[in-house]
Amino acid sequence: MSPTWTGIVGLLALFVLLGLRMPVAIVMMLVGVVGIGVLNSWDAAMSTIADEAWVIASNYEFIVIPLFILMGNFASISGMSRDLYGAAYSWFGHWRGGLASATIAACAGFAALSGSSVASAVTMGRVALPEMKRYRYSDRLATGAIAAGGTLGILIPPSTGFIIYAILVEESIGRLFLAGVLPGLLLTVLFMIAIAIVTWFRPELGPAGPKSSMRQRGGALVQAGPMIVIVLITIGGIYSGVFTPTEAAAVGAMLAFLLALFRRKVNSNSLSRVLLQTVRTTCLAFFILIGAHIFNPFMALSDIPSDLANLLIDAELSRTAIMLIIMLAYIVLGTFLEGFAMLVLTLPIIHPLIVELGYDPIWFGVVIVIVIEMGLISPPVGVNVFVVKGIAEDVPLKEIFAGIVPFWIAMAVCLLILLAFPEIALFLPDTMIQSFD
Amino acid sequence: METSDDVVEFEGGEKALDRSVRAMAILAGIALMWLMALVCYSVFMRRVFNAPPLGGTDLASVSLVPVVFLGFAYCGWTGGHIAVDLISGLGRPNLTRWTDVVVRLLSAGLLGILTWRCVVLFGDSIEIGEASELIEIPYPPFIAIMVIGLAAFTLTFLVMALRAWRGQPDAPSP
Repeated sequence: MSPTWTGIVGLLALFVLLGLRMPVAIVMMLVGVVGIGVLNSWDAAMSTIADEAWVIASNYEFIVIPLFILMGNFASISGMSRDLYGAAYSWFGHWRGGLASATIAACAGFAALSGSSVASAVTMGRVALPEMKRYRYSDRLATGAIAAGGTLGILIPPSTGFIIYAILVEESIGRLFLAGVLPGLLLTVLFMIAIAIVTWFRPELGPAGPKSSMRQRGGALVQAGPMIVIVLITIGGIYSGVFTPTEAAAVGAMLAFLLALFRRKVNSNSLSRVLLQTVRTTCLAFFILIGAHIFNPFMALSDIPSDLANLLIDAELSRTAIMLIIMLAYIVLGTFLEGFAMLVLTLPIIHPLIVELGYDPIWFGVVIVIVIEMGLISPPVGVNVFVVKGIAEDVPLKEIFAGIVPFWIAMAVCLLILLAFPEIALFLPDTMIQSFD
Repeated sequence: METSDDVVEFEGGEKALDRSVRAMAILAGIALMWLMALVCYSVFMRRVFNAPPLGGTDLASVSLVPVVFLGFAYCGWTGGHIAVDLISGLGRPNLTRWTDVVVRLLSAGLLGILTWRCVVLFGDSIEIGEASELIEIPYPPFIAIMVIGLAAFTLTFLVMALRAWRGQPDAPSP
């Protein structure tokens, strides 16, 4: 059997095992080990699994993963989400649909502390949903804003999506973080425009709240000050070259921990909850990384990535047409594949193609993360939608999915803008001080 | 953070396993707090005194090993590992029950092989006296942590296969 056919059989086996609910990381390990065994040797396959596990789990660069997760979880218990929402509310609450816009703005702020979309949706949802209900917002708009706003968690740095992408394609985590800043802000604005358009046509969906005085606004901003300081130190530190991403993560986690301690939010119960949650998410990410590092050599040995690249290049399609096909394929995949899984399963095949076509992998990292975000709110596996359903138990799922539509369109617009103007993503990484990379 | 109010009762050996994987995860969390403090201390010493601690990177690298491997079993036990759920929507609980048994046994088998390979790695590491580059922290104790973590992970899959076979629910998410 040729390497390409072995690769195709491997991919088929992979999809069958995934369909049977085998954990993604284990499927990748299993298919990778057997594939390497067939295409290279069983000795190589056997030594690969333990070696890769050790190399991944003792890599200094990868310390960034648990530390940023820890920072987000300490931020969750420190009460910063309430401060953020209060600040956003005081500035936008009096607009038509203003509470939904405040939710989006607060989600963007929380995203700068947390790299997880689910954590952002849960944390902000608990704060924002009761307020929107109090002001008689439609369930559709309220839940849609929380589910969509939560997705900003993996676009605005720090982002676990960017870290995993950077590790898989061997790009700089710092550059990817910075590449996410402007698109993250762009998407935040597009979400707010979507809310403005919806409430322009149907004002009853999001009535305006009371207007805050300048003193109240200033006070709310001061209250959210610690969060702003932490973001400036971590992300600003990476941009200015003061910190490596790993150091920024450690300092950010320490500051969030000290703030939670100062606010008396740390006790044995909350601390063990934070540690267990952080360890759980960390292990999920590392297990997938180990799986990917065993699966990727098999894909490379199978020649499938180069065959696919040649096929698309021989089809004489334009670069943009190929990119649109890739985006479309990812959007379809995202409707039934979990985002992390989609990333690790497809990158060994797609990344060489992207490089071959001359696209900047940093830009593509931003694009793929936005597509993952679309998957997070698309039926049938829209994780964020189910998370919001857990908070808003009385709202039917179809109402939440209906509320997602304007935000989903905003994401598609964002993708098209990035395709037309890649500089939006590349400006900050190209101007960062590169004492560390 | 996600929380769940579901309560699943465990008895005997399963209760011991439940407690063990949680204790291991807490140890992993303590290792992570140490890691956070260590990196902060290195940054402080480098930025303020221009004197980064010797071997700080070596120490941080090996400190990541317990964070990762002591938490795998807890992550698996509480259903944290990502799986693609396409068949449970088909409305055939009996089908998913049996596929779960097969898939978990297969997973335990693969993890068993990985554990065995790490035991081999442990032996090789002792034989050649493997250690970190700068301050020569010996690797075998950390590879031993890998073995312990993976053995516990393998065991959780075996117990979860047994529970699926009996039609019992898994441990709830934290």
